[in-house]
Amino acid sequence: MSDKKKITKQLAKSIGRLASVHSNRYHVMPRANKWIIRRDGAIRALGIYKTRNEAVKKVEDVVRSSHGGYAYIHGKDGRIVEEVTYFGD
Amino acid sequence: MSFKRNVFINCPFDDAYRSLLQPLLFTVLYLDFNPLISETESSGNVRVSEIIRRIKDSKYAIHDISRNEALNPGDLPRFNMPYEMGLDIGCQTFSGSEKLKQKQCLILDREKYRYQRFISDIAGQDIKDHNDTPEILIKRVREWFTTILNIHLPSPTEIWEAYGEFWADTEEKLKRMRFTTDDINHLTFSDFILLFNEWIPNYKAARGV
Repeated sequence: MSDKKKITKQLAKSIGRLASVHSNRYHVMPRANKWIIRRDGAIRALGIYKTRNEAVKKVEDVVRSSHGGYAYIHGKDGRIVEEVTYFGD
Repeated sequence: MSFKRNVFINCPFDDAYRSLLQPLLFTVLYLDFNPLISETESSGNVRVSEIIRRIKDSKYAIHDISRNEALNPGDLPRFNMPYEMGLDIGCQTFSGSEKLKQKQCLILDREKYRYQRFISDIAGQDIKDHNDTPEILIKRVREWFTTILNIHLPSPTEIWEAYGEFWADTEEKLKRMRFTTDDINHLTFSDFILLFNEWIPNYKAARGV
């Protein structure tokens, strides 16, 4: 196991800045008892789905059509459970 | 931060309670209060004197007594949380200071009337159950602040979703900075307070809340 890493005030500041909405990263995450896909840094969802599986299937299309990128699949507590890289169409 | 915005957090700091303590700290900060926890102090100070200092510096306190049980069969139960709760209630009750008499506390347990089996003397206090569920814990803390402050506060749903958004935004950034999952799982609670303190204002500003 690596030495414990600490968060400095400076690091927290850089992490606290919201991501650029032009990022090629997408998140599948819970919202209001449904599941959404949203782009990193965006507020609005690109799509809303009844189940996480539906959102996971859709995010591949979304990322590939955006010339490739990354999808982060989150659990109900917000933690990442899977990271997937997709290449563009 | 002032006495009126400080909240003394009295709960376990072990890994098993992490999934509740993180959303608890997030909620307190999201509602514009300042959590004071023992973990942030240097180990050079005598622990009880630091706890007493935090109790006297905080108008509010949240005590979680859901873990006052033996960690292993044959061990004695842990008494730190009930002890610190007693110090806090005693501070409010016996203090000659008008300021300290204003203190208020929320007591959390995992089941509604479990406390009656081991600490029935607290029956007159504000005791709420969280069922070991982060969403319910957020709801109870928000409800309590709404009741004692008598003002409108963000909904429990807004806070829970914000907490999920925090992880969505933060975890992959940490990983890009070469924090492993194990590193993230072992960040201290003072690390989380730093992260929450930077993230929450930016999130609220972006959403106009």
